[in-house]
Amino acid sequence: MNLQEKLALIEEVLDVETGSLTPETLLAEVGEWDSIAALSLVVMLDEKFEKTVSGVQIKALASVNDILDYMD
Amino acid sequence: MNFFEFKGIKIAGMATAVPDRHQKMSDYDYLFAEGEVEKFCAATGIYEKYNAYGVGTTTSDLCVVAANKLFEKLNINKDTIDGLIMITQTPDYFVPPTSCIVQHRLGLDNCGLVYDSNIGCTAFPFGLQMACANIMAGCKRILLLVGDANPNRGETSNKDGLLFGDAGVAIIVEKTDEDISPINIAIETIGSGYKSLITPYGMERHPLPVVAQTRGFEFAAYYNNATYMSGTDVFTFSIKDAPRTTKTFLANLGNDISDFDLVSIHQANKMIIDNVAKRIKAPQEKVINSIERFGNTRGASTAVNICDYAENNNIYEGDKKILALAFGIGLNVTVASFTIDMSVCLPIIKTSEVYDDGIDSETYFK
Repeated sequence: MNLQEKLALIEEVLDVETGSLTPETLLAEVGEWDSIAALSLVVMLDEKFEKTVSGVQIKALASVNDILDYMD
Repeated sequence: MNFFEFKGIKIAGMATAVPDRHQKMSDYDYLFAEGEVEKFCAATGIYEKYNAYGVGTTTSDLCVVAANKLFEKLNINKDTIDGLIMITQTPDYFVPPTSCIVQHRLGLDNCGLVYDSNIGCTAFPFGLQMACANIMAGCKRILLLVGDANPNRGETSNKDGLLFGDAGVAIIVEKTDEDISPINIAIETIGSGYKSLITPYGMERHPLPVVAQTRGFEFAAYYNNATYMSGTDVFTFSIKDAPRTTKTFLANLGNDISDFDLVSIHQANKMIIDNVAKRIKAPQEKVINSIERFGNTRGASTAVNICDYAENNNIYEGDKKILALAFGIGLNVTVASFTIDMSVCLPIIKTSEVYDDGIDSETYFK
């Protein structure tokens, strides 16, 4: 999966416009990033990447890049 | 994980009571920023619920009403009840066990075996295991009560508090000579996750006076009996461990999800229910839900689902083979498969009956 495809997945999870995120985007600046989006992220990482992330790891996410780190 | 099989035992009755205070989630709009409650409803699937605040009904009040209705409608002689199990996290008193008081209130004079459990979200299927195990040991007819209610918790701007609806369920489990399929149950406990759902302050480990010393009396009083939830960790546990346990349970039985008429999943929230259903490959039409109308009714939810299904679809006859799957505090996952005759499931009762124990804050320790 290339970077664009991964970003598209994150955009789908956050329910934001396609192409609106870059790896540098800060989650604090994305209005849609809330506790429910976090749960959607948990599902996506589990289903697509077989990664289990904890509450502490979710809280530590600061940027889109931090999410991308889990997507390999 | 432990597997159990109980032959010659059936569920002979089931009734649910809720406090007579119907609420729409939109009633809470004024406590939150615009659109927040709407978003909460869409994500959790909760639009309405029943809540004891202002009504005053405790869990035992709801369970007593449900049990009395069962005795009356199914013509059950109270003297034949020889076991009473009460599962709640909202007991009347710290001690004695609420089951003792309920035994007295229901007039179950021949029932010596009474006990409480506070196992939580898995109360209904877990309680079924307790009831069946006692029948294997000699009991003939057990009254299993499960429920939770918060008559003292008012409006809250904490979204976790919005999740919960109040309900009390009474279930009769009895020995039978009928030729029916066994009740199968699997229980798994993941105690290492105990901190992700916990009421940390107020008991022996962290008593209120100690909490008050560092955080003030007001804080200590407010958080007395308050439960902390690590949402993400509970969510991950729910969508991963619950389906895994269920799959192992079905494989162990040689069963497939298609062998069941109905699938009753703990009504945690819609995201979790949908995810769990998808992962155990339960077809949408078999998954029964009450969360939209009753909220998350905690340990009672997998039973409330069944009474709500009967009422909503007006199905009060015929056998249904049910898979009940619950998960939550502990952390614990319990899965049960059983057949129930829908004619013994009663319509949901609304009540404002409150027991007067004759006690007020001046009664003791003068």
